Amino acid sequence: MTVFHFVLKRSIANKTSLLILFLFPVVAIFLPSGEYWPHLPYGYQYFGIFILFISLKLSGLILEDRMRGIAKKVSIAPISHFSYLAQNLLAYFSILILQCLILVYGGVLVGKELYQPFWLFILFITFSMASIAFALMWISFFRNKEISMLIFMSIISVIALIGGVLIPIELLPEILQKIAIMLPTFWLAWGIDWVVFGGELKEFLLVNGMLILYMFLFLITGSVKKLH
Amino acid sequence: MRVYERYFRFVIFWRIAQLLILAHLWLISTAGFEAIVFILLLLIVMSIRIRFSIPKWSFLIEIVLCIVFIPYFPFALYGLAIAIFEAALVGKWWLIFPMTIFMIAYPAFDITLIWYSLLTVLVGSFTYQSMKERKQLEKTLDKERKEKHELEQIKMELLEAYFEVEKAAELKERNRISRELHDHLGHDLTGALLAIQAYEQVENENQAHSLLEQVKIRLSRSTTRLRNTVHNLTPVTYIGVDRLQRIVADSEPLLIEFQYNGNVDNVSSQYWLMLEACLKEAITNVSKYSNATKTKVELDITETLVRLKIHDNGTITQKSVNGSGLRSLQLRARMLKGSFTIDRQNGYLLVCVLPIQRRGK
Amino acid sequence: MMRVLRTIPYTVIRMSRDYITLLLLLVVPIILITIFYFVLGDLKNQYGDPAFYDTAQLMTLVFQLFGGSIVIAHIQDDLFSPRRQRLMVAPMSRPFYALSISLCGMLYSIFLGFLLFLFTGIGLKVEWGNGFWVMYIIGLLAVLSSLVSLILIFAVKNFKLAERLSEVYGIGCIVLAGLFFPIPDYTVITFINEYLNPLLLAANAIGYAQSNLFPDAYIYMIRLGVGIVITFIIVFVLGRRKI
Repeated sequence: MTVFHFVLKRSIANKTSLLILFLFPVVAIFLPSGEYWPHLPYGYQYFGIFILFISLKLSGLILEDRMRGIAKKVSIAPISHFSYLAQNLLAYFSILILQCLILVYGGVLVGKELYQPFWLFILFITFSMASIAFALMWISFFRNKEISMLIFMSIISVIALIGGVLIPIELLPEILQKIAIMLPTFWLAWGIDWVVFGGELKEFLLVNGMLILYMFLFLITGSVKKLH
Repeated sequence: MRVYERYFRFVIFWRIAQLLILAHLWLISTAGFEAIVFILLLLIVMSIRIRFSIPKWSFLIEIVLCIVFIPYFPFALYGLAIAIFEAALVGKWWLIFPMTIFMIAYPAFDITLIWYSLLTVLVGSFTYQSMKERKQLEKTLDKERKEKHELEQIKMELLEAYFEVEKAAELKERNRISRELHDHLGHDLTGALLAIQAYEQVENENQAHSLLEQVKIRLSRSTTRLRNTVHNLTPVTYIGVDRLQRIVADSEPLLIEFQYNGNVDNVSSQYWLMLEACLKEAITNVSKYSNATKTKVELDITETLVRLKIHDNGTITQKSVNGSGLRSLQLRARMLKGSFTIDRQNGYLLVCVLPIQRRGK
Repeated sequence: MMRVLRTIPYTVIRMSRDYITLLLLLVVPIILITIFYFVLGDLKNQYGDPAFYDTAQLMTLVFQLFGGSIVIAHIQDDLFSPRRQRLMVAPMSRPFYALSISLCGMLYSIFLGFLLFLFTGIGLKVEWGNGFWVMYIIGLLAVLSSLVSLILIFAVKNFKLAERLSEVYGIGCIVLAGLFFPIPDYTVITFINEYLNPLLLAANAIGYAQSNLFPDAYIYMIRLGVGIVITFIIVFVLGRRKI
């Protein structure tokens, strides 16, 4: 678990990243609630977008490894590509779990109306997994960290808009509503609705199952061994 | 690990196109999220297929998926085309028959679907055939390459063996000379020396005379032996610069001027053989292709290298292909760590430069 | 001076080849505004105008806030990176060169704003009011954003941090304007929005001019202008030390 250990250290080594990583969830707890929509306070509604950005920022470490030739050194070291990737992803995942925990548990402590905090926590965790996998796939298309981030920003602003995170999905034209189903954020929005309004457990399992399917898809395409 | 490099990129395009067709069908249909689950699962299977090598029967996964999802998403029937394509891609194109029967038997029969799967099976089989052919071609190419490589290897080994043999012969000859000198000549000369020394000490006239006689006999025998040994040593064929001169003289109708300078003893016999081959090759080429009236052959020998330069005043500059003779000369020159170049710009010019390795190194 | 002028075509070419900026500041807003066009449809706001007009105007202005990134990226490339050494030995005035880069960046940003204005005005039939006034305000906003970014890059040593801070400036303005979620009515925040937030100043200047309330529009325009003067003085003082 050496890689895991050091990836964890690198992720929180610098003060700015530490601030971004752990200040935002705390701030998000105190954001106000909307009048009609969203049903959860704004901080919780927008947390999905935050998770997407954080996953990309974290998995930028892998891209940095590839750019600086560390990936080449790792590839001749007595460690398999699978193990290297798995330990990296695990480290990012544990940071994201911590953030979800801060957000949800903090919300409960402060007394925010979260309806079913435990299920919300589970939902955020599965979404984190899918989003880390997505980030892994995303960086496999790029050779430059900055450019990958900038293009990601433009894509995410569109995805967030039509994926049901920024505005309710019912407002979209029908064709966009259909396309939105293909986006992982749609399932997050659905999951949040389930958490708020309750319903059959089967539905919640479906939402999480879809997110996990997305995770597998992104992992398979993103785990290509790339040595620049 | 990157299996898909073996595939045509085209295959991947076709797969994505098939999924896009399904996505389009879903967009125009009224089906709910089940269709997305279906397409996502197909996408996952496809990405696994691209990333890893999976068994041939894996198209069954797609068939099962389609059959499971047909109740929720009628257009999943079109997904069968993906299975047909994958089956055709591994040479099982006959799968279209049971599929077609199934499609016809299915209540919502659609002629477009039959046409679509026919198209798919055609594309799949075509790709399968060309992939097979390509694999075959690659195999043949590899074999040829390997054989060529082996031949070159053997050539090199033969050349090396030739040098070994040459060295062994030289050693053997040296042994013979030293044995001859030691056994006979040395003996007699030592005897003569001793006799002369004794002759200086002796006072008796008779004895001295007989000693002198003995010396005379010994010396005359030594002379004969020396002559014999030397005669034995002299090879029947000419070697070295004499040999080159003889070749030049033999090519009578051509007007060839031969000059050399430097110490010819510096050059070992394998170099002479190489130079001789060069000269022969050049003369053949000149007599065959050139319109030259005069050819100049220069041989320069210095402490560190030998240079053979053959230059004629011909005017034909057309480029003839470097034949196998020249190629093998080039190879041999490389073996001797030298260089061999031909230029046809300004008459026919052949230059062969060989470095001289110091003895004992 | 002439030498600096001769570099301008190359600066323009360099800026127009920066496809990522083009994507972020032109393509993305066009996509977002189009989506909003479909989402909001014929919805009316409290004054009876289509709600989409306000959104489209705000979105156009929002992306002017990030125009400063063009200027600072080029200033960083030419004056603070290893290329600075080459420029030091070049026979031309560095302050003028910095000025020309800044002006080019600002004009480019205004040009992108103009394209968005055309797209929303002609393509999506948004009513903007007087086009010259709108372009004037968009220009002021772009200049102010560029100046703020310049202050950041001159004041902060680490370029990446300066870049992040300029993003914080942009996003902060958006958040304070209440575009992401409604902002509670604290006196401080109201004051900032009324006097300091360039996004709302520009939006109000355009909005009042549209309803022919020019005195109000002039007040907001002058506040923007004062902001530009103040930031320009700071840039001038800081820039003299750094360049």
